[in-house]
Amino acid sequence: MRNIGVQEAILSENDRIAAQNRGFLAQRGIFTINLMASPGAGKTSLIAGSIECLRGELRLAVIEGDIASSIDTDRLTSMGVPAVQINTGGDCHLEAHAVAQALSRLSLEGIDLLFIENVGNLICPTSFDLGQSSKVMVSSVSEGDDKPQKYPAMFQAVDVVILNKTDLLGICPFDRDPFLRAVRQLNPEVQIFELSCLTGAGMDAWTDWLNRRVDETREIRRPSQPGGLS
Amino acid sequence: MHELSMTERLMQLALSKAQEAGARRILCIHVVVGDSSGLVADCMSLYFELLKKGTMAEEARLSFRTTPTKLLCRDCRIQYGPNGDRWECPRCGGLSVERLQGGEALLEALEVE
Repeated sequence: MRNIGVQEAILSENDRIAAQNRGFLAQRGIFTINLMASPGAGKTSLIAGSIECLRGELRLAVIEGDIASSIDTDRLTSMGVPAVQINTGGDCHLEAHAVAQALSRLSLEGIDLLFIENVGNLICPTSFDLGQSSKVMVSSVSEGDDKPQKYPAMFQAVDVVILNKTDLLGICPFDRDPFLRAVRQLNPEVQIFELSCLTGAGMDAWTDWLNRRVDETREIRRPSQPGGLS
Repeated sequence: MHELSMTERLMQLALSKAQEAGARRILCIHVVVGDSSGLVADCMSLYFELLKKGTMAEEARLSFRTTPTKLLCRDCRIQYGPNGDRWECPRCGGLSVERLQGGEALLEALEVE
């Protein structure tokens, strides 16, 4: 018997594929968002709202992750946006290899902005790098203001927190200031947007941010080279 | 919650490391799991029993070492452990905390022959 020392992250293979995805997307100058939230927070509504607001400005594509069904993909495809569905068949999160396969099925010619909608879950998706440019989470007023305390790892892992369903402030019990304070304490660098996908209030600041990030991504785009995912 | 995929990735990594080392059999897989990684060791062991069948790890056991969560308050600069699931600093009550340890999931070592 002998010992082999390894000391390697269990997800090292996922991280390797995520790095390939990141390179593939960077080469094409595509700003990519890994969008995470609990079920029903408004991930698909945010994507649909962003498509409406950015029509004529940016070209979007979507990778939809769900345990089952193509309801979300059908909704977004009907809006004229290229979208592919990943059904995880029970897995509670997306992994980099599934995103790599989806990228090979998606027509990315001329695309500026790619949304990857993760499976609705505030725990597991934080562990898996997909190769995104930015991690964004949606938290909604109807879920309550205690989510940062209950899911600190998620709030720490993201670059942007969107507080959705602000039209329900004053209707649902939700203390806005302590929520925002807890988010900023957990993640001092985080960007916060407060909006309502239903009424459209606050969407401008979010889409301005998207436009700026897309511009930055185009500027740092490396010279385009033929090649695909291996 | 994602123990099945983590155990599948662990198996792939362990099998490839053992093959690289020219091993015939894996006897034990040593894993390090942080106690705030969200991973449940019993659940991983259950999946491991199913996944190891027909592989060179068929008779292997899974050994866990748990690392405690260590937090740092950015304001008070003190290190502490969480109070149950709550990460607030015990001195100032704030949430301006950084996790120094506890989220990891590593394949630490293999015993092979």
